[in-house]
This record gives sequence, structure tokens and C-alpha cells, in this order.
Amino acid sequence: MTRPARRALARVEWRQVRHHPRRAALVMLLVAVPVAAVVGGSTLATIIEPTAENRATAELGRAALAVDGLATHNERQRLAARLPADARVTRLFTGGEDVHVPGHRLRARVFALEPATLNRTSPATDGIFVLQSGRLPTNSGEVALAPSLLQALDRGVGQQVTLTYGPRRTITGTVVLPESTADPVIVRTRAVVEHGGLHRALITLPNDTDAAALADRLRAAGFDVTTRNDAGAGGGGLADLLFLLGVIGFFEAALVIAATFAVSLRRRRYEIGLLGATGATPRDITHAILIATAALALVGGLLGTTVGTLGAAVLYPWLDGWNERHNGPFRVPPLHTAGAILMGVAAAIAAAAGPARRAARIPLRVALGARRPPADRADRWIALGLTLILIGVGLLTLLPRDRGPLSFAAIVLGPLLALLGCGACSPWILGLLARAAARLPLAWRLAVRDAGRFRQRNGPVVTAVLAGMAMSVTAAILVASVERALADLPTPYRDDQVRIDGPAAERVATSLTRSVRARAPLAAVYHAGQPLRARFEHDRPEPGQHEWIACGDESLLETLGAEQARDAFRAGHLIAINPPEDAGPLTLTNWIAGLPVTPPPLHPVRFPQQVRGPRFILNQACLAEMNCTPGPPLRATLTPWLIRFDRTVTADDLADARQQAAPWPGTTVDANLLNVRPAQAVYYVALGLCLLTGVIIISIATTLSATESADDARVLHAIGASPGLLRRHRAAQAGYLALLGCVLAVPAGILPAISLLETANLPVGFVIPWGQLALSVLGLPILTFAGTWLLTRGTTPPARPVAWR
Amino acid sequence: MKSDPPLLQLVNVTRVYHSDAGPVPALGPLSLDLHPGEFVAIMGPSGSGKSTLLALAGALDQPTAGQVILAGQNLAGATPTALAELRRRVIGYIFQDLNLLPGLTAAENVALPLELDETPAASARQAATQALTEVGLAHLAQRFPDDLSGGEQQRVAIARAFVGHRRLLLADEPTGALDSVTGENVMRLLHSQTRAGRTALLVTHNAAHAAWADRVIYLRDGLVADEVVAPQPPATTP
Repeated sequence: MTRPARRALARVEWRQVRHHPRRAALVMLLVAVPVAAVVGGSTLATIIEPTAENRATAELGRAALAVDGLATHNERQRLAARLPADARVTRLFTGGEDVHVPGHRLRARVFALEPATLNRTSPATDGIFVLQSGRLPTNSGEVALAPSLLQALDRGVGQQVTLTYGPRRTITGTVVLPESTADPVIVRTRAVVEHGGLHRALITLPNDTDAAALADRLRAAGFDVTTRNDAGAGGGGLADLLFLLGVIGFFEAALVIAATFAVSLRRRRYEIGLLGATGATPRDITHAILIATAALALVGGLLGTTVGTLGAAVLYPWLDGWNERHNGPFRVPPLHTAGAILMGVAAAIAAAAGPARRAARIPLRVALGARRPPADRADRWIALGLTLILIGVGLLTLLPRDRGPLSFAAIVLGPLLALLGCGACSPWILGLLARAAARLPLAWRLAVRDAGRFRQRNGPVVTAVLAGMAMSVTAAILVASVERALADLPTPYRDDQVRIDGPAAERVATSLTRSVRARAPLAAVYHAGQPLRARFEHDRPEPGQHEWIACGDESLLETLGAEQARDAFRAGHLIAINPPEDAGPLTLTNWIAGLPVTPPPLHPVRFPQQVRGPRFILNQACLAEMNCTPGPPLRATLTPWLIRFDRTVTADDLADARQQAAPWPGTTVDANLLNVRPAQAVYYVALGLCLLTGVIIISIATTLSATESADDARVLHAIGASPGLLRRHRAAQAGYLALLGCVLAVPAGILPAISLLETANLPVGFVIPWGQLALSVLGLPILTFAGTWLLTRGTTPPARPVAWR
Repeated sequence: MKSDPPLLQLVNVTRVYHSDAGPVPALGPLSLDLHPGEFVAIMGPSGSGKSTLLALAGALDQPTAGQVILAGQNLAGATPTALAELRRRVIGYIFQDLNLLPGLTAAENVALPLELDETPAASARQAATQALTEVGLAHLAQRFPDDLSGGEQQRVAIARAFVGHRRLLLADEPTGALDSVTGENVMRLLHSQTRAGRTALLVTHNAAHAAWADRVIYLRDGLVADEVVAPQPPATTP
């Protein structure tokens, strides 16, 4: 093609854009939306996701290596002997510790360092925690706390708190962990002896030292070494994952663009025929259409990039508060952005190529004639479609279940190929159904026949709906399967139990009087300041069960439902709930130091115990004899209270308890009633997004259909179709395409769900949620039918005398 | 006939369109009576108001001024549903092309007005078959429009226009896309329908086709320029 010819055709296409700005805007929008989502999402992901350096710094500070488990002097000496002379070692102790003020006791993560380190003479710990205000502690009478702790304890800088060990300490400043700013954290100077926890040596090396080689040598000598590479490994890839998810958006956009082009180019049949009659070859015409499409898509891509970037920039100032970390600087990932624009342009060109090629190849006699050109054969792509479906299903069923890259590729490619196959088969399905529509009511018959007649337009629409709704089917199955697995687990409480946690637990528990059978604090037995642990020699507790020992009076027995063991309890026996057979002898030791305590006589009882209940109960009156004291149970900072009602807990009981707890911040009420299905929200979010996508696609399809079938609507109007019938006809068109897409989405969604469940290799069975499937299959058709019926006018009065062409 | 009350009356009808450049008078003032069994042809150059007149007569449009009275009912103020009912029961429309719904077979197209009027499906199918037999296309009843020739399509459209008991046939250049022989056949068919008691209003550019009418009205700039009464149908090729 010569340059003048190219210019002439380009001018024709440009005029088309100018004369049909809404159509051009639709194409740009369809490209812009996924590009904006990918660019915005990738930008946010890049900002919020810790880099390898972030992860390494959070664990090692500026040190090159960390060596763990150096609790004794000899081990430290052994390490020092293997380090270069100018290596610098900073000792760091981390563990859990309680911080007290009158009325409050909270547990937090502690970082203990040498005073010299805290005086900033060593840069090794820079970045592990960040000083926000004030200064770091320099002696055993000082401490720095996280703002979240200060808020919970109602204390400020300059005031005093008490830690588990040592004197009262003055708060000198606030510190946060950069990767988890809301975490309760304590920074203090090292004690001479630290109990439990992790003794770590952070090693700073001169620049010319090969840290990896040194790490290998230390490992060979039996040390537990972490390098910066080890600490920075893992994580990442969120932006890549978002980009992959964005591909689905581009796929959907391409299908709708294909439908749009199928309509617009069919309407330009006469004009394209004229271009052919004046000498343009089909190749010239196709090229001109594709170049114009690429230009529109490029503008859409740039628009999407701008919107995505601006959206991310608007959200940026709030990110630190939302994800509770010190996020990185604002940065648009160039590769993802360029990739998104390229994907958008490629999707638009691929979508336009088929319709453009078909339009350019219509014989001139037909293009310039008054009669409609014959429709393509419905079974033209059936062989290709079935092959793609077979390959997709094959990938999903035969893929290795090892969570490896091949398995991941098969899970992504399998559904995609199956969907493309469905897309290729959908014109044939539409044609087949159109032939079987003779007995349908008129509005539906017309809709089904129209869908079959305009299958070039409707095939991609059905595929786009199918792709969207298949995801909701997959989500429904995954959620139902996970929920069934969760439902099979023991419940956290008995149906008649309520647990109250927090500073006002006792006050709230004692204020409840209605239908209460028993109430008691759920305290644990402590020995030498640490929880006492009971362990059978051959026992392995169930997940969620703990080895701590609950103590209290007879009310506790009743709140737990163990009143059958009252006599043994009174006699000071250790009540063991559902102990395993042949578990061996029982030993009692305190949690960290392992100091043994002589166990009292054992009394086993059997009754349905819930997972959050204790496995052992002891009469509080007997604690003094064992040199023990009561304290909060594991994973609690304050002693919770347990209430047992004389009936199943009702929503009113819960509301009453919550009302009592409301004036006391941090006081919470829990019961089985609140054990809601956690994964349901995931399904409904997925369903909502799929429905939204489906509604948008069907709206565009219905608009295209209204444009293309305007003549038919006028004929119907002229021969006396009532306004109601015209509305039903339009609504049926929308509902039929949605229904077909949703029905095909069921098998298309079930297959990936089976593959994902098998690949995940979790103890989760396959469950088909018929209710949710019905919602997925019928929701969109009903929504689109009703929406179109409500929004469509029943009349098509011609503004001018009818132009019957 | 003329002694009967008119089936269609246009009384001082005016239609003005509004465009960005201002009001554009398309028709009138114009008055016209069509009696049962009468065959009237409208002729005139492009833009003379022929199609506007047909749209007003067919209850597809409302006049800017004046009255359209169809089967004794004044169309002014009629609801869309009432107008649709009139189009289903009284009026049969034939257009130049794109007459038929391509998604329906020939029989379904012919039965469509009856189906719209909630006639039972079996009766509608029977009436459609009969109408197709009358136009000589019973053997093509199950074909889709795209599988029919232009003449066959137009005959199906005529069958659809008179299926049931509709009394007014409105034809907007029904032979425009047909060859002369097929066009002649269509006109004969239309003429036979008027002889059977139906009323026809034909818009055409073709004087030979207009000669089939009892009356020919010439429009120019939206006004009646001339009116000719043709006493006899022309002699035609068999």
C-alpha cells in the first residue's frame, strides 16, 4: 500500500472515530479499565510489599550475619574465635515479656540490647526497630515502648511501668517495628541473665569480607547462621500476581471489544464495500482498521496508566496506617506499566482482527447490495474450540499436584484454554439453540433467534460472561469446601458458654445475672512466675489444645461442664479432661525453666470439651500446697471470665453482655454464636465482582444489540407489538446471553476448583454448594433481565419518517 | 365504499419536525378520507411528505396539528398500548425492504401480528398458512427470510399485512427493491386484497404501479398538488 493510500484510509478511520465518538470511547474505556487496575494495583503492591532488603533489615538491621542460640559464654567464645579480627558482634535478646501498670498487664515482644548499642555506638540494630520519639533506654531503669502499648496501658513518655523482671522503669521513648508498626514491642537494656527467648549475635563485617563464605564456615562449625540473603528470601511477587490477575481483565475486555467491532464493522459494511470498489484491497482495509484500533487502545492504555497512577497516588498517604508498616517511596513499576499498556493494545488488536478481516473480505456485490450478507457458518470454529477445551481439561486433570511451577502453569493455562475453547464453540451453541427455539414464547424466541443470528457478536459476550461467572463458581466451591472442613472441627465453646476477655472481664461477668448457671475466672496455674504445663509422656495434643492447667473453685467446674468430677476436685485431684488411653505418666513443669512440680492424684473425666477449653483443672484452694499461684492463661494478658448459662446463649444474651462491656475499651465478649462462617465473605465479594463484570458486559451487549436490531424493533413496533413485548424482548436478549454464559460457567468453574483443591493438598473435601451455584447461575440472568426490563422504553417512535434501511 | 363511513380520516393534518436549524414543515395542512375497499396511491418527489403521511396514517407518528381518525377512533391522546393494538388489529404495514424479522420463519413472520394479539398459537399458525397459501408461498413457510428471494419476502410481508381481519393496508414503496415482473405480481396481490374489501394506501414513485389504484394523490412540499381518479385498472402482462 502506498503512503497516500495509507493516509486516505487512515483519514476514513479517523472520521469514523469522530463520527462515532461513543464507540471509540467504549473501546478506549475497555482498554483503560484493566490497564488502570493493573497499573494502580502493581504500584500499590510495589509500595506495600517489603523488598528483600526490607525483610533483611527487619531481621538483621545493618549486620551482615546473625548467629542464633548463643546463650552461654562458651558458645560466644567459640564464635568469636571464628570471626575476622575486625568483625563486630552486637548481642541481641528477643523474647516475650509482660508489662504491667496497676490494673493492666499486657504481653509484648521484647528487644534487649547492651547499653552501648542502645547509645547508638553500633549500627548493627538500625532498622530492626525505629525510634519514633524520645530516646532509647540506657540503663536497667529505663524502657522504650511501642505507641500501641502506651495507648493500651494509658501511659506516656516519662511515666513508669514494670516488666516481668527487674525494677520499675521509666519510659524514655516510643519505638516501632518498621514492618509492623502496630505490634506491641518493648526495647530495654540486656539483663545479666535472660530467661527463654532467642540469644542472637548480629555480626557486622568489613566491606571486603565475603559474608557468604564466612556463613558457610560457621555453619560447618555447627552454628545457626542467617545471612542477609536468607533473611530477604521468600515473599515478593505480589505485583506479578496482580499482573497475572489483570490478564483476566484484558481477556474480558478483548471479548467485549470483539463484540463491539463485530457490530460496528457490520454497520460499516456499505462503506467498506465502497472502499473496496474504489480500489482498496481487503488487506489495506484490515490494516487501516487495526491501526486505528491500536491508536485507540494506546490512548486508552495511557489514560488507564494515568488513572491508575493517580489512584495509587491518592491512596499513598494512607497506606502506612492501613497496612501498619513503614511503606516504601511512591514508585510506579515501569515493567508492569509498559506490560499493561502492551497487553491492552495487543488485546484490542487481537479482538478487532477477526471482525476486521471478515468485514474486509465480504464480496463487494454483497457489501454494496441491499441484502444482509450471509452469516458465517456456526460450526466454523467448533473443531478448534473442542480441541482447546480438551487440552485445557487435560492440563487440569493430568497436572502434577506438587505446587511446583508446572502445576501453577497448568492451573493458569488450563482454565484459560478451556475458556477460549468455549468461546470458539459458543457461536455453534448459539446457532444450535436458535434452531430449537420454535416453541418458546415470542419475546424469548426472538431473543434466542437473534442471539443465534448475530453469533459473531454474541459468542464473545457469552464467553466473557462465562469467564467472569466461572470465577464465582470456583470461589463458591472453594469456600464451601473450606467451610465444610472448618465445620467439622470442634467448636470453640459450648453452646451455653460465653467468654469475656479484657480489663473489665470480672466486672462484666458479675454484672450478668439473667439465666446464668455459673461463672468463674479462667485462670492458669503458675509456678515460679511461669505457667505450669501438664504433659503425658506419650500424649500429642490436638491442634489448638494447650497443656496449661486451669484453676478455680467449683464454679469453674460448672462453667466448663465438668461438674461430674466435683468430688475429686474437692479432694485436690488434678482433673484431666478426655486424657488419651495409655498416655503414660504425667509430669508437671513450669513453661520456660522446666522446673518440676509434684503432680497431685489424677482424675480422668470424659465429656465433650471444646477446643478453647483447658485440658486440666485444679482446685485453686490446693495451689499453695504446690507452691503455685493463679495467673492469666496462655495467649491472654489478663484473666478472662467464663460464664455458663442454663440454656443456649442467645443473641439477646450476647447483646446484653456487649452492652455491659461497652464502657470498658478492650473488653470483649465471645461465644459460639459468633463463630460465623469466615469464608462466606470471600465468596460474596467474588460473586459481587463477577456480577458487576457480568452486568457491565451484558449492558454493553444489550446496547450493541439494540443498535444492530433497531430495524427489527421498528418492524415489530409497526406491526403492533405492545410496549410490554418490546421491553420483554430486550430484557430476554440480556437475560438469555447471561443465562447461557452462567450455565456454561458451572463446568468451567468446577474444573479449576477441583484442581486447586487437589493441588493445595489440604485436608479439605470437595463440596458442591448447590445454593451458591444456583445464585451464580440465576443471579446474573435475573439481574440483567429485570434491569433491562426496567430501563428499556417499550416504544421506538421514529424521530423522522421511518428510514427502512 | 364511498357510502360507508371513512376507515381513515386525516383532518387538516400538519407535521412539523424540529431540527437545529429550526422547524421543518414536512406535511400539511392536509385532509384525506379513505373508505373501505378503496385503493389510493400517493405519488410525489422525494421530501414531498409521502412517508410522513404514511407514518401518521399507520399510527407510527403523531401530527403536530389536526386529527387522524382511524376506524372511528381519534389517535390524538391514545396511549402507546392502544396505538399498538390498532396497529395489530386494523393496520397492515408493508415496507420497501427489511420487512421481515430475520429471526423468524416465513410462517412465524406472518403469524406474528396474531401472536402479538394473543391468538392461540395453533390458530395463528393455521391463519398464517392460509395467508401464505393465498400469496402462493405455502411451500416456503418454514424458510427464514434470508433464504427467500426479494419477491418472495415481499409476498410474505403482504401475507403478514392482511393476516387476520385487518382492514387498512399501508404500503411504502413495496416494489422498490423488486424487478418489474415481481413488482407487478405484488401490485396484483395488493389490488386483489382491496377488491376483497380491504383498504390500501400505497406510496410509490412508479406511475405504472400507481395506475392500479382507484385514486392517485400527488404531493408536493407536503401539500396535495393534484388528485386523479382512475376508473379502471390498467391492462397488465399476465
